[in-house]
Amino acid sequence: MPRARPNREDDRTLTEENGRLTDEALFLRFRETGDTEAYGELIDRYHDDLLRFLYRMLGDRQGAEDVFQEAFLQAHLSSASFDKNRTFRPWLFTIAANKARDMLRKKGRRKTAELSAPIGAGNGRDTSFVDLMGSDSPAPDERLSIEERDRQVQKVLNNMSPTLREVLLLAYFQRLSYAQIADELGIPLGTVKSRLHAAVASFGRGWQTLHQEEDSD
Amino acid sequence: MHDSPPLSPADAEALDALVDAGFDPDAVPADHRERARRIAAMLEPMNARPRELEHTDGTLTARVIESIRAASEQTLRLSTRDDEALESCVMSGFDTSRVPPAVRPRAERHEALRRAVTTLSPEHEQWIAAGRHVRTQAVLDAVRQPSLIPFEEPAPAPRGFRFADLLTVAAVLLIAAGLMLPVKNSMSESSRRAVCMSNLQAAGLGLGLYAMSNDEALPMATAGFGGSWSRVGDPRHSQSANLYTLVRTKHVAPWMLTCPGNPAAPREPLDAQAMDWRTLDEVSYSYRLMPAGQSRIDRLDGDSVVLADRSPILLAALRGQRISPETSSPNHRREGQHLLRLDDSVRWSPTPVLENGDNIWLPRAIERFVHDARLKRGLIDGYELPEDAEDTFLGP
Repeated sequence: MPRARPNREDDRTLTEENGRLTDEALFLRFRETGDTEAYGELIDRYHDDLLRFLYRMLGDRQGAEDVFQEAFLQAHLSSASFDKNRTFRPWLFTIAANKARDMLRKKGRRKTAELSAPIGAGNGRDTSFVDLMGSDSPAPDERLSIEERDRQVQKVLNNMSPTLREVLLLAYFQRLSYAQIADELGIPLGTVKSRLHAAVASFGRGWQTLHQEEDSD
Repeated sequence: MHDSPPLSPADAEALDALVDAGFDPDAVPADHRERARRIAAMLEPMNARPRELEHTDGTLTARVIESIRAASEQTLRLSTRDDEALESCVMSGFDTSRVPPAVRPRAERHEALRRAVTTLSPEHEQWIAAGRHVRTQAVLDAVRQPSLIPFEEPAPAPRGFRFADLLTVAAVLLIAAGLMLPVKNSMSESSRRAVCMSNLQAAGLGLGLYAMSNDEALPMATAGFGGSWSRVGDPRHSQSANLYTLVRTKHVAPWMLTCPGNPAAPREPLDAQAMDWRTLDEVSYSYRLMPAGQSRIDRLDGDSVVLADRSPILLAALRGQRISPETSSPNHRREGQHLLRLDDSVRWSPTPVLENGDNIWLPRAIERFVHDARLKRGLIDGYELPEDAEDTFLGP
């Protein structure tokens, strides 16, 4: 396979303030020169965050590990399509989210869905407004042990539809603007906005419902 | 919808009661009435035609449920003040110190949610940290495999040919020939199996990518089968041409579909215009037969076998030899075969008969025929011998 020599000028313009190469520079170096050390460093940089993200998407460790590997292999196989003007992080996370969605579909995951509970007290026909401060349920970082909070967060996420879960996690893990999410997911900005708001509302309502149930037990 | 979750037992009972009551919630028994009313209310905005659901079954219920859930999620909105606070959070990159003081308490509530979602328990963090090196190495090992070299590699710029190039190429070829021949000859069966398994894993990745960009459909070169599918080399009548589509569309490299246990497999890539392998012997893997219109992956279960080491049945049949339905693939000394399933798992199976009794080499009609024939008296005429020392076969 033909290999180009690394372009030192390019690398220099793609360094961060601390002098290390940016993610994009590492990926381009790997793509252009086959330097697996560069790719190894990139994997290392994203290891923890991507696994946390995938664990939250899938709810199980083995699945998260499998998709983690698939995502980096896919990034490698699709490297030619990576535009060097883009940011690597959202590109990688979007690949990982797609792989995670595939895995959920292939496994034909069947989780029992409680229809009535998330709808709340309304008649189901009208819009239901979620007020995050309008209930007695604690904020997730109050009162609970870390382990218990972790378990409860995952339970609420598992009950959300994959579409809303994906947009919520992409926004939460990457702190992207609406425009950036819209760009990565290839959907209109207005749709991203309404989906993220619905996702936060869905999570907030799920959290409140869980606490109402557990308080009543 | 394939991934729709089932209803909770209470909701399922309420839906059944609603169907029984002709979709009139008031006619539903009191203990299910409230739930039934909510379900009916959710169905209404979806313009569902309840009468069509009267003959509902598990599948239909599952298909309806995801739509109901999506509709119910869409009815959720944040309160106006939470809405403003979330806007501020997103605009500030979830840095609550940068949001206006008036919305800060709510923004901090949003940030608490975000922190809770993105922070895992110490037990999970230990799991992440403990496998860091292993996971990184696993990806790099896979990336270094020749079968995972991307295809879109930019072509080298044309330039003149130099004598030094010729010497270099000659030297490389000589060294490679000296090194590779002994390696090839001494390749153990376990190494062949390892390479074969890696091939099928890569093929699984290629199939998934193909389906992603082809409306969830697995490759089908022909519109469907109206005649023979066994004429390798004639793409209109060849099942292997369907599999070869993966190579043609560059979703897999040619060598990914070459099992080292098949001595007749082509060692060089076929012509760039090729639509199929040239002969049956060249084909290393057997691909799932799917009638027209049934190649979408959402029509198959996750554990469906889609690709395996090549079938011994067709090889024997076309050569006029006797068929033994439980024979394993010739790729691995008939000791077993690798099976690639739709969920991307690749497993070694010592038998072509699956857990559910389905023989992967035969359609069900022939399996029944074989079964019936074996039950008939006179099938054994007293001359048979065990196939080998491990074949248990007792006499009178």
